[in-house]
Amino acid sequence: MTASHAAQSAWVRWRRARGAVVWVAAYLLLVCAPLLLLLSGRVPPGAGLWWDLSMAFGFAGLAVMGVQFALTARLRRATAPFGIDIIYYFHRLAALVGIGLILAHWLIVRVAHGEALGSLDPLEAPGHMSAGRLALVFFLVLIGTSLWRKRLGLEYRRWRMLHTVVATAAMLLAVIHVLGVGYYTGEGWKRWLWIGYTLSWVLLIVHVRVVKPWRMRQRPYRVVEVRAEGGGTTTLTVTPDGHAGLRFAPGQFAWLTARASPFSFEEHPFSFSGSAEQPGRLAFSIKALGDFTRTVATMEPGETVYLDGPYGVFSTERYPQARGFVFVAAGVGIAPIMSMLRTLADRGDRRPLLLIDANRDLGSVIFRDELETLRARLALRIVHVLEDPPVDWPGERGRIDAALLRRVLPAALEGHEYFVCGPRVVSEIVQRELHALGVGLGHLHFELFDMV
Amino acid sequence: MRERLARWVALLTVLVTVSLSLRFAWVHNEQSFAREGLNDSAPVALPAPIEGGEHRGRVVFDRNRCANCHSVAGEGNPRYPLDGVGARRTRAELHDWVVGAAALEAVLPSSAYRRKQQYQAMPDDELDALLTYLQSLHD
Repeated sequence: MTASHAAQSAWVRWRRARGAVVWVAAYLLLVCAPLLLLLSGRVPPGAGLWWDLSMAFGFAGLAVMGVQFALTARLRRATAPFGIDIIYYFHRLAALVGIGLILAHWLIVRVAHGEALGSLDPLEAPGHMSAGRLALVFFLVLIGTSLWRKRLGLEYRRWRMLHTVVATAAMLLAVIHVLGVGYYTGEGWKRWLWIGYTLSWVLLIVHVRVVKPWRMRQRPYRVVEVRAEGGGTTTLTVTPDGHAGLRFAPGQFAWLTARASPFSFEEHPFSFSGSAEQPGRLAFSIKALGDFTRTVATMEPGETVYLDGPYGVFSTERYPQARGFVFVAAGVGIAPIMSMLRTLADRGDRRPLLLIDANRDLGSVIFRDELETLRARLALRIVHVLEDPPVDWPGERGRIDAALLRRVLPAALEGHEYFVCGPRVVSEIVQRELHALGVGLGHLHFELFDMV
Repeated sequence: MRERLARWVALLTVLVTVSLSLRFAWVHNEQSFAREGLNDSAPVALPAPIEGGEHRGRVVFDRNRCANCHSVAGEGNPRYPLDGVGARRTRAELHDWVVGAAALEAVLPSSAYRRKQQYQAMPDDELDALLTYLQSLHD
């Protein structure tokens, strides 16, 4: 690595870190903005520490919930430094912070001044109090249905619709609650600023559900090839239809809508599996695992699909300074890794690469032939691991474990970046083992998915 | 690594919102602390036992859930305490405040103004007792 190369990669890392710090600061500022607004100008007299603390918790909780709309709006620039998967992960944590604050708001009043809550009966209680109660119930429903979607037997698409509708309703009810009480927001300008600020989050729904799908519909993609890869996997190749398409980094993914309108909630995330050097042909390798993925094999050239992407930070592209790369794939987890290998090959990259590819049996190895040809174009070592190998199989057998990793990993772990992709259980085991073998967390890369 | 960052930011969110909320509570109450010291939140001296018309008035006060919005001796909604209201307002003024007289529309929050309109339908003897009770509230 030359001195200028090192300086360049340090610059890239610094810019990335700066981007992350700026966005985290922006997030915290947005969450604090309503309380800062209510603290500015003339402040009305308080009603005791506990009472005003409770009200502050209510405003803070609502602000946290409001910014949730921005976190999930798939804003590409804001999510780029982190990876959108971690944004969704954070969205879950923030929901717990928000509901904690809102419950504290209710609980303090309940304990310290129970009479102020008034009647539970909506016919008797003031409308804004019932609105507040209902908002609290809706927020709890949002969190419950998200944490236990599968246990509740809630289909993913249904859940997404429910989530959007209930979240919007909860926010609006909370706004009615605050305005009905109308104490801190009593002064005219504060009132309007607060309403504008809070409702602008809800307006993001219009961006996500109307503006963005409309733009997607203006940029359709046409299916040009549907190829069976073996192992129940199909590669769908699409090309931009009448527009420039998109550029992705190998390892990234996009949300794909097929046989449905972009306005529907019917979209699924898939990794690009083709080379980033050939952006005119976007390939997705999809394994038939569920209702939607099973229909992919039945698709025909000429059909129209819509894409929202690219997203994700699971990419060799982010580590130009790496001395080499280690990839661990299980099953269809090979798809984004294939994209990285193909791209590295197209660029004539000569850095040492190791691929550990785990599959059930020889027949379910995806891209087996192409991996052989890539071996000639790259400094690539491939270790196939089969759970159920043929009798005369000379290679590795069983599952990926610490002993196997110790056997096949390069002697010098430093300077390498590690990419792990596969079913969650496998991925977590491999991450743990690699970390135990001395791979730093900053060099261990994986995509978080299947969170709901 | 990234998960750890997410957890840190979540923790930071808790710290920032809670400390700002504490600040919010303090700013709203520092004047009354300056006036009355830190014992402010301790209940005021127990109200003297009430009897006769005042007692009937207190029953009316409870039945109409006045404590949803008002407190007496720390009981009820502390936002609009009624302690001492008997010394500050005349009986006629108290009457206007209870039933939400038209002149108060600009002063009261609209939800409070609407709710007070209902009390215009209160039987005269009940309203009378309530006013007697309110007049008895001295600091």
